[in-house]
Amino acid sequence: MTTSLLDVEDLNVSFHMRHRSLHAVRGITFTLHEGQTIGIVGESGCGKSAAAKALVQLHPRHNTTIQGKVLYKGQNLLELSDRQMQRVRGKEISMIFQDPMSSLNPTMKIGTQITEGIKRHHPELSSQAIRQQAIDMLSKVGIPSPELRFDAYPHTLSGGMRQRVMIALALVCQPHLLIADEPTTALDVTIQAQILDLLKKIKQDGNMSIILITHDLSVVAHFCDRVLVMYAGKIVEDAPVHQLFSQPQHPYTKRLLLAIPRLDQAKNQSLHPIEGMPPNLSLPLKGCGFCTRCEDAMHICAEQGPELIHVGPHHRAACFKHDKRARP
Amino acid sequence: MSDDTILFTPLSSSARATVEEAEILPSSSYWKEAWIRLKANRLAMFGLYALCFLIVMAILGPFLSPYSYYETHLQLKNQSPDAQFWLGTDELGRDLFTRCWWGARISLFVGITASLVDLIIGVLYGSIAAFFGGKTDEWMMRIADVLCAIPYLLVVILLMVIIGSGITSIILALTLTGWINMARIVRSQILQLKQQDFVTAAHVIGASNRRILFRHLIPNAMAPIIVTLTLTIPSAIFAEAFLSFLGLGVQAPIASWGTMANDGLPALRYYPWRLFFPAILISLTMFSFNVLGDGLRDAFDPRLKK
Amino acid sequence: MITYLAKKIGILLLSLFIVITLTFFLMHAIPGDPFIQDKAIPEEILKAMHQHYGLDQPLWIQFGKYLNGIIHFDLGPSFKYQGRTINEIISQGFPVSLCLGLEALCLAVFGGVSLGSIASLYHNRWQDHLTMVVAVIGISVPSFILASFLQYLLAMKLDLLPVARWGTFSQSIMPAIALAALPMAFIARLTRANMVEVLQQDYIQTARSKGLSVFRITVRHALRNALFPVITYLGPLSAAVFTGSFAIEKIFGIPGLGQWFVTSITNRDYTMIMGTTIFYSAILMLCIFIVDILYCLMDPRIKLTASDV
Repeated sequence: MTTSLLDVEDLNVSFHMRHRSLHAVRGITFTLHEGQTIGIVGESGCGKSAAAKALVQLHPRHNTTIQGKVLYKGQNLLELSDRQMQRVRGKEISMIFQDPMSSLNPTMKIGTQITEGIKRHHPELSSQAIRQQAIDMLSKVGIPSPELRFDAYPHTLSGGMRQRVMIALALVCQPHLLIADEPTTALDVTIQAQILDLLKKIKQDGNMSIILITHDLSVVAHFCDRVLVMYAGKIVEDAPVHQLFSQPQHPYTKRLLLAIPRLDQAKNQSLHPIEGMPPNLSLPLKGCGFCTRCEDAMHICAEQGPELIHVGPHHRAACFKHDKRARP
Repeated sequence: MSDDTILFTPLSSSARATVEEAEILPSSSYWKEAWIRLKANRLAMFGLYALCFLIVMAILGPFLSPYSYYETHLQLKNQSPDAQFWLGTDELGRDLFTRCWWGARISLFVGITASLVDLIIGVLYGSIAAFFGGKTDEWMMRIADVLCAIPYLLVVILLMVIIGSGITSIILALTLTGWINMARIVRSQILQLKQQDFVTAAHVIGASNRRILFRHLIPNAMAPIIVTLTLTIPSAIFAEAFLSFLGLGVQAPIASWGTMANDGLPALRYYPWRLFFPAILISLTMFSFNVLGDGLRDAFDPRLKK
Repeated sequence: MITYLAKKIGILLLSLFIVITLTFFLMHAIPGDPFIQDKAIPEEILKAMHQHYGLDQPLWIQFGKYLNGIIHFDLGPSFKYQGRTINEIISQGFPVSLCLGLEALCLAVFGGVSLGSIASLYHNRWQDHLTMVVAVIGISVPSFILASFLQYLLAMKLDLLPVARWGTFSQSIMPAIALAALPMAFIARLTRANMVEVLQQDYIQTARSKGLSVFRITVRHALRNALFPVITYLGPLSAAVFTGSFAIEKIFGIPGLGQWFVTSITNRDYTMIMGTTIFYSAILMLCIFIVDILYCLMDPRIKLTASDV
C-alpha cells in the first residue's frame, strides 16, 4: 500500500466574531495516501472549505482557533509558525480556488503572478530560468501562445483560461498535494469538463495527491478515488467512490443521491428535496446533526453524536443505524 | 439493556420537530437597529454627548457669568484664568468665558445653517437630476463638475472681500458651492433606489412624479443624507473659523471662535490661553461632529465596517 | 483614454474661465476707487492714473484686455506697489510656497499610507482603533490651530525649533507638519478603508496560498490595488495644502505666496487678489489634471479598455 501523505486527526475549527463563535469543523479524521484523490462533498456551510483552508492555515490567526493534528509527511502542520508555513504553501501543498475572476490580482501580469511563486521557493534560479519555467507551465495547462500571454492581464482572459492560470501558478513548484476548493463551480459545464480533464492529466503525470472539494456529486464520480461526505462540520460517510454511489450507508448520503434529478425520471414525478435546515453551527450541537431531517432517526440520535464506524472494507459511516445495538 | 432498546427505537416526526431549535430573532425596524448599533459605538456616543454639552453651553453659557461679551475692563486685561474671570480676559479686558460661549453660538449657528442650506439645495438638485435621468441628469452633472473644479475657499474668500463681513455674508458665501457634495451623494443614492421594484410599483399605480420623489425616494435616501449633513457641519465650522482667522469674519465686538483665535495669535507667547480656549472648542466641536458622522455611517450600513 | 482626458481638460478650462470672469467682475463691482486710500489725490492725477491703467475704458474692453493678458501669461501690474507686476510678485513668493507644499505633501502621503496600511493589517484590534482616533483628531483640529500649538510648545516653551521665518530645514519642520496633518489623516483613513476591502479579496488568499511573505503580499498585491482611490484624492489634496498655506505662512512669517495673498486681502489690493486667485486656480487644475493622467496610466484596466475601443 502506498504511504500516507496526510493524516488529519480530530480537526476542529472555530471562528470567533464579536458576539459569538462559529464551530465550523467539529472533529474530522481522515488519511490521504500518495497519489490518491479524495473528494469532500457537502452542502454550503457544512465546513468543507473551512477544513481545507485549515490544513494550510489560511485562516486569520487572531480570530480562528484550530485544534487537532494535521500530519503532513509525519510533521504536524498546526504547530508551525506562519513563517514556517510559508515554506510549505506553494511548495509542498498548493491550493486553487473557486472563482478565477476574483482569485487573480487584476493589476498584475499573469506571468508575474506565476514567477513570484517560483522566485519565492527557488531563489537560486536565474530570472531567465524562472520565466522559462512559467511559460512551460502555461503551455502545460493548455494556454495557447504562452509567451504572449505571459504579459497579459487577467481580465483579457476567459473564465476557463483564468482557471488554467490558477492551476499553473499552483503547480509550478510541483507540490505533492493539491487542494482544489470548488474549482469548477464558477465555470460553464463544458469548461468544467476541460478543467477536470486537465487536472486528471496532471495528476497522472506527477503522482500528485488531490483533495477536491465540491458540492457537485457528478464531479466526484468522474474524478475521485474516495469520497468524504460532510454535514454540519463532521464527516458522515467515507467510502471508495463506486461504493458510495452504489451502496450509500448514511441517510444523508442516500437523500443526497436521491435528490439529484435524473434524465430518466418521468416528467410529472416530483423532486425529492431534503426538508428542514442544517443546524446552527454557532450553537453547541447535541446528538446527530442530521437528526431533525432523518426519517430513520432514533431516540439516541437526539442524545449522542454518532462516531464513524466501519460498515464495510474501507467504508465508514457515522450513523447509529449501523451500531450493533440497533440491530434487533 | 432496556435503556438501549428505548434509545434505539425510532423518533417520531413530531418529536423531531421539537428538537429543532427555533431561532426567531425579534425583528426591529431599520432605524431602531441603527440606533442600537450607534449606541454600541463608544466614540460616536462621546461625540454625541460632547455636542449636547456644547449646544447647551452655547445657549446657557453667556447667562452664567455676570459679564457680557462686549464689556471691557481695561485695567484687568490679559488676565489668566482666575476666580473672577473663569477663562481669563482678552486684550480689552473682556471676559473670555462669556465670549467663548457667545462664539459657540456664532460658530455653531453659521456651521449648522450653512450646512442645512447646502442640504436643501443639494437634495433638490441631486434628486431632480437622478429622478429625471437622461439628458437632464447629464447637463446638471456637467454644471456641477465645472463648479466643483473651482477652488471652494478661494471663491469664498473673494466673496467675503466683496460682500463684506457679517454672519449672513459668511453663510451666503459658504453655501454658494458647498452643496455640490451633498447633491452628488443624493443623486447616486437615488439612482440606486430608482431601479428597485417599489418605485416601479408606485409608477404603475399612477403616483405622480412629485409624490414618488418626495414620499418614496427621498425618505429612503435619508441615511446617507444624514451622514453627509453631520460631516458637512465641521467643514462649515472650519471654513468660518478659517475666514475669521484671515480677518474676513464677523466684526468686533461680536466674537466667533475664529476671530478669537485670530486675536489671540499675536499674544501667543505670553497669554497663550487666549488662543487655546477657542482653539480647543473648535477642535472639540469638529471632532465630535466627525466621530458622530462616522458612527452614523457605520450604524446605517454595517456592511461597510466589517 | 484620449477622449476622456480631452473632456477633462475642457471642463477644467471652462472652470478656469468662470473663475477668471467671476474674479474680474467681482473685483470691479467693489464700490470706490482702487487708488483712493487714506490720503486725498488731486483729480487730474487720478484721471491720469486711470488712463494709464486703462480703467477709463468700458468694462468689456477691460475684460477682453485682461483675458488677452492671461493667455500671454501676463497678470497685469500691481496697483499697490507701483512699478511691479503681479507676475514678479508671484514668482517671488511661489517657489517658497511650492517648497513648503511639496514637503507637506510628501509627509502626508508617506505618513498617511503607512499609518493606514498598518491599521488595516491590525483590523478591528487596538492598533487599528488607536490609529483611527488619531486620524479623526487630525482632520478635526484646524491646521492653523495645530500650527499655533506646535509653535507655542516646541519653539516658545521648549525651544527645540526656531519660532518663525524661512530658510533652513529646521524652520520648515513645524509648518510642514501643521500643513500635512489634515491630508495625512485623510489619506490614512482612505488607505485603511481601501486596504481592509482589498485584503478581503480572493486574490490575497491566492497570494497567501503561494507561500508569499506578508511584506510582499501587503505591498505588491494589496497596496498596489488599494492606492488607486488615494491617487484620485491627490487632486483635492493639493487644494487643501494650498489653502492651508495661507494661514500657516501667516503664523510662521513665511514669505510665500499665501502670505502675499492674505496681505493683499487685508489691504484690499485688488489686482493682487485677482492675480493670485487665478494663478492658484490654474495650478490647482493642473494638479487635478496631472493626477487624472497618472491614474489612467497606472490602471491597466483603463488603458486596455481604451485601446480596445
